[in-house]
Amino acid sequence: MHPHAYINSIHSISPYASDAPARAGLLSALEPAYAPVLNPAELRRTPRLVKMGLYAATRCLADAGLDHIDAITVGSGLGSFDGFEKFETSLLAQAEDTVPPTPFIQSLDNAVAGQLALKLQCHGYNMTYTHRGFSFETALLDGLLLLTEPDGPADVLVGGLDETTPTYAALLHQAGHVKNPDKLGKVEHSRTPGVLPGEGATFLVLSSARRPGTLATVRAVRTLFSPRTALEVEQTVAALLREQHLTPADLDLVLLGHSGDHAHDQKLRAVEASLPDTPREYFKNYCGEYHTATAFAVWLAVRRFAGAAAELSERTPYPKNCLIINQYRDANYSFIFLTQD
Amino acid sequence: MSTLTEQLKNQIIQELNLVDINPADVNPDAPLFDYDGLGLDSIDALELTVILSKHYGIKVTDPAKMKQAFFSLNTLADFITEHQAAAVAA
Repeated sequence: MHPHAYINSIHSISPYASDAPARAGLLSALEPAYAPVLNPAELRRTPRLVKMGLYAATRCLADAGLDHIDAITVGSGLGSFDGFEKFETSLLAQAEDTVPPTPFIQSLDNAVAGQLALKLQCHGYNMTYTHRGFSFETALLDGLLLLTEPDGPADVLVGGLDETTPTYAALLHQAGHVKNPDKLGKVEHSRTPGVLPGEGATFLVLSSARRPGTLATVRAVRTLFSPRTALEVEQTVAALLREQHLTPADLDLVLLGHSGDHAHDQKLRAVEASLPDTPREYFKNYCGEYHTATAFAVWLAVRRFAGAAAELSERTPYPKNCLIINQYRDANYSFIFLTQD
Repeated sequence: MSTLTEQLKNQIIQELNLVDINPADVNPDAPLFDYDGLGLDSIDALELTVILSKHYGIKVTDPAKMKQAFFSLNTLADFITEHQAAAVAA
């Protein structure tokens, strides 16, 4: 039997519903007012990504009715890039002499999980994964496995978060990874190189037990590194569906991670052609491309389960299952299967 | 209040990102590391040593001596003034 677990709450800070792409060329997260959730010391000392993570995690725990958590697993491709920039800038400005300690402390990839542990007084398992396009998936897998341990926790706080700062966006642009503003459009229609950079912070409470308010069940998480052909990706999808005793016709919704880069999306286009009748949505139109965009996709799937998919398909206004298929730079392919039952 | 104290107050508010603090409300004799004052903590103490180095060229070599200097804005201003006078005399 494959490990599965229940999502009992989820909160995401994302660019969803933002009109930013037409204006800025990158999708910026719609940040909340942090003051009701973060204390003054956290507000003044915490860089943007850590604030986003602390806020999303705190809201998530509150929604789940939990005042403590047994374990924390977080995925982040880059950690707090803003903190890193400040640290590096001061290092250069001060000629590697005395530099402010706070940006250094906060720039570390595990700053979010560490700050959360301090805030929640969680002395249990605490792990951060920085596995590029597999960062969130690895944190999610770790959470699933923790819940199967004989003396494991009952609930795990799992998160995925990354930010795109102006400097990072400029570096991506220099490297030719950003789409020209005049080529912006829906990712599924793109036939040009480059992506629309995005960002977001998503946390969920993953539990071993179903509760009255359970939002979804995580049934499977798979990763595939650098497949040579689209067939390998198609075979992974087919194997995952077989394990779940499903056929492609049984899928209510597929969330596809086309990035808008025509070369990187080739294999996903072949995969979606193999699922011709399945209602689909391209989640990076909402959140942009970043290492942990699949965390946002999980949030979107839960939202669709709740009935926000009526505009997608008359056949499945309330989907009962959803397969997320993602690619990051044609290297990191991941597959997350969720159900609502 | 001396110009130096006023300057230090603004530098601390800016570099420590004390977002809700109005400079006019800061008592220069209040303890820096106490909630009756600015409520700073140990990480802020490190940030203060960076301010001393960056803006006044003072290297903290004996942390034990800093307890008195870091007591309030005025004691910190006195420490800087004494240090600068000693540097000129040398």
